[in-house]
Amino acid sequence: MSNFKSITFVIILMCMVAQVHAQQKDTSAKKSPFSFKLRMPQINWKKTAPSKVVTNSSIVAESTIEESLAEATQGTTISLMTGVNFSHQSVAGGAYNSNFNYNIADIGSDTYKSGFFGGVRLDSRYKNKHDYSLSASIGKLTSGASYADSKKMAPFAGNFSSFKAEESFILLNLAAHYKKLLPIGDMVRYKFYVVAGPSVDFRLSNTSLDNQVNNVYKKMFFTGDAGIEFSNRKNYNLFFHYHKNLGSITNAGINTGLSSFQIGMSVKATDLF
Amino acid sequence: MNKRHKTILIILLLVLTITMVAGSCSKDTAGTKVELSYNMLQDKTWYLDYTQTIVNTTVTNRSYVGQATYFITFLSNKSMTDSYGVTGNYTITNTAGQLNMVINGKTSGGNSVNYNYIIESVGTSNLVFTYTNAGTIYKMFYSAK
Repeated sequence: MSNFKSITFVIILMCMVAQVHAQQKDTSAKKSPFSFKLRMPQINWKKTAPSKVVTNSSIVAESTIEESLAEATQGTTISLMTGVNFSHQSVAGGAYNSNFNYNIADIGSDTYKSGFFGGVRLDSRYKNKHDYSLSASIGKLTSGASYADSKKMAPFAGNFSSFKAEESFILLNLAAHYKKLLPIGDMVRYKFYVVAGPSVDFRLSNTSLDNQVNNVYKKMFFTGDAGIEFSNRKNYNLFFHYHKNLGSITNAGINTGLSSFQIGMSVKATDLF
Repeated sequence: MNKRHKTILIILLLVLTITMVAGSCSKDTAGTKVELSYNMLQDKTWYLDYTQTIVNTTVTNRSYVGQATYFITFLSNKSMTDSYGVTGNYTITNTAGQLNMVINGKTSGGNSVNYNYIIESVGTSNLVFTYTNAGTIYKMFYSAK
């Protein structure tokens, strides 16, 4: 089932790329036929609208959408990105009870474990002022887990938990980041940005049997992201992001915080294809 | 297909994907509990380390650690043997969130024996059975070795 979901998403990503590709053919005939950079003319629709011959309302709606899109996507760059992530869960499950026990000495691991991700990213500027990026990525996240609460099972020695944190997930992440340029170094050649914004994660993988017992893990959760980025003339970006979930990624009285670091690189799609 | 239609199609596909992810099916939790219990118990030999006898609020503890003690083996084919020479089969059920184990066995002399336990807690290496007899609660603490 999880494979099917992954394949479906890849198909959708391909559709998105194809869509952007199709738009490019109409607007930048002088460039490489494989260029993804959108060079749509900036149109002041308020001035040009009266000169158009309007035949029906659908044409008006289409023009407005296209023109708004053109304004919003000036200098848009589509990139492919990949990288590694390091993740950790902190679990407070004191209010959770089940028939199962896990020795914390066996399952606890107060470390960040590594995973990987890959996806598509769109960098653009809104109204020639505000830099932003949108991204969609699929990643495998593996995490260590620390347990804040423990239970005793006297006369057994040791600390126990009724809940065992899931060790790995496959997540679809959709993110929107605002980018603020930092006045550092030669800004013609390099640019440094500080970025922040929300993202939403969809869990594509099933959980282990331990966590299917009470359907403990949420299928969707929101995160807040912050980080820094280095851009080399928009040819490639190196980025370091910190993600922290908002709320808990689990239900049933378990408060689970998921934090992760992403170190990655995005390369302009036109340089790859 | 014009651009507008393509955009609508992509949005629909995205909504479809999100709906599929958010609404994907999940196993019934009662069946999952039983399955997980079998997974944790089976193909292990469980040794009785401690017992507790509870009469009203009086708790009497007894330890068997370091001594020759009772043990019971649960196999993945749902059969069991114990240190008394009883052989038979075991079944785990979930009744209103409570896990129960029923053991139907025979002694080496051919006599039938039946045990009914409440599984209070089960893990990969620690197991707590409870049963009640004439108002007295008996707890048995096993560990897998």
